[in-house]
Amino acid sequence: MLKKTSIYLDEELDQALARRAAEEGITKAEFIRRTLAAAVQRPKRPRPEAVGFADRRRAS
Amino acid sequence: MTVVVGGDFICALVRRGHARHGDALALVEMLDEDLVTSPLALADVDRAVANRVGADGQQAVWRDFERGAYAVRWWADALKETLTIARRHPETGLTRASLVALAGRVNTRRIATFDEQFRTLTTPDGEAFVVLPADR
Repeated sequence: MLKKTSIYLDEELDQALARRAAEEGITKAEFIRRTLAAAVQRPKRPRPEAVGFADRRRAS
Repeated sequence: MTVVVGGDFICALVRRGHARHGDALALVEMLDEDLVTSPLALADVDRAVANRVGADGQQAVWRDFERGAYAVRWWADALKETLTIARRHPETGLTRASLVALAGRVNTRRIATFDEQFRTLTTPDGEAFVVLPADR
């Protein structure tokens, strides 16, 4: 069951959503649903671990 | 929300001897957003880390990309959009231009970089970049 929700969007964002939905061959509403679902279901981004390495010594 | 990440920023994070390492580390510890970059910037990072740090740092960067600490985005029209931006700003070069195109693609103005040239560039929509960490 789908619940109706109204939100205000900038015109440019609205147009961009329509363009992206058309690229995917789906309706704008479906594109928004999929995007929001991905945003809330996605696991949190891991922190970078490649941090704080010493520069290698240069041959003199 | 997404933050575009410049290769220079990743290099600063990797190299503790980098003048901006502390700034890069403080920002990364604060941000929860997705960090995304372009394949061109990743290639720059790979080369710079291999040269300055060596294989252990290089492979640590590869692991970070593999585990999703950073995402790489490229799409069907990415090269066309990158070239259009690079031609409009001849001093910019393809790597910076790819990051501008990417910002348009992921609909963000936020970019993590120490590259002052992004002060003179705008997003494809004509908006000024929010340059992190300086504009935090």
